[in-house]
Amino acid sequence: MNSQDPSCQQQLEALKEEYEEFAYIVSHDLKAPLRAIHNLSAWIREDLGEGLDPDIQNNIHLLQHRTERLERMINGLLLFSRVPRYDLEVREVNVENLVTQWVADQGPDVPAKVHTAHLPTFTTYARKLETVLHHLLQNALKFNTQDTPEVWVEAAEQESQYVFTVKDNGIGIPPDSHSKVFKIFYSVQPKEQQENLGVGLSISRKIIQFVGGSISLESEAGQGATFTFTWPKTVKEPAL
Amino acid sequence: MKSKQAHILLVEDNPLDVATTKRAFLAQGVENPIHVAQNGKIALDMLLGRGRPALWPIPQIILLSLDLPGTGGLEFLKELRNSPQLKACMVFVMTSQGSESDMTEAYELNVAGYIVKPIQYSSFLETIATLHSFWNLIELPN
Repeated sequence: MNSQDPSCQQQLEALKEEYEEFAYIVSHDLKAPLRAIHNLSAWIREDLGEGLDPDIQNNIHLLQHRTERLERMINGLLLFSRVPRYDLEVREVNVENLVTQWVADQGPDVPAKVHTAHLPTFTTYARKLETVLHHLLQNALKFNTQDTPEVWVEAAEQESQYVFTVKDNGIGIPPDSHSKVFKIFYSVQPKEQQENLGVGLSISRKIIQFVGGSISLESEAGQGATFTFTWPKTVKEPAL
Repeated sequence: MKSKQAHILLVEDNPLDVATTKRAFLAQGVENPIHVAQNGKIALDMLLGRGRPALWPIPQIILLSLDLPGTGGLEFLKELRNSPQLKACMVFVMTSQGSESDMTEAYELNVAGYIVKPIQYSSFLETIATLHSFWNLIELPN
């Protein structure tokens, strides 16, 4: 594609706009009928009164559970569509503090150990970097069956960018799933087993692409996972 | 006036959301008379007595959906605040999705609260219970 060609550029802009509008409308307008389904099933249960057949009760419970899951998926889609338009304030961020604060916020019940090294302080899209690190840290602890889950967050400085790595001692990701984990709503574990939606890594990758970096993954099943991403030192104007 | 007797105007076009609100009122023992308008224009007609007798007493509490056919919620709110006899009405926005700009605009028009309607009926019951206890706490003019 020739980026000098104005009609091509215009088409791209129009497509981008259409895509973002689509995602917004989908997330916005799907909520009303979803609320209706949830409400109606709650009323049916209420109106059937006490002593309901356990099968019916269980089915209504499953129905409501799925509606709630669908709501969270819609919210995830909304967050995903908002990446280029929200949290655009640029300010100084101390990455070391950001990580230690996140760990502190998890409370004393989380027995995790988080090690940090060479984390920089620099001026960038602070909320966006925070979102990416939160998702990676969250995954590192969530998909972890060790008595003491451990995470290593490090950074290396290069000429125009930082290379961040987030490494854990968790359950790891089988190699055949590596290309899929960044897809929205994809999850390695079967849907029945987990509450996880599969949006965190999609949003993270979208943010990283937005700022002009890239993300990759190294992992074997049972061997922990290492996510590596690059993040430019200086903010370039978003291509809106 | 005791806010228990205050009339309530619900501006909402979705019949199921109207039914949800009425059902929740009943479940939470909210006895305030409730009127329903399907959009902002009808709501203003009812409040100002345009082409029909005006509601009396004036509903001091308005539950307002933003996404309405015809005259939308924010347009309604602007007209309400411009009207000498209606500008004191207390308005709660009840919407399905919070948009930052809608929220800012609504608060600039002095809404008493901006509420995103929860998916779960049980959460909506709690919302209504909280509003109800708030109405019982405060005094309203008239």
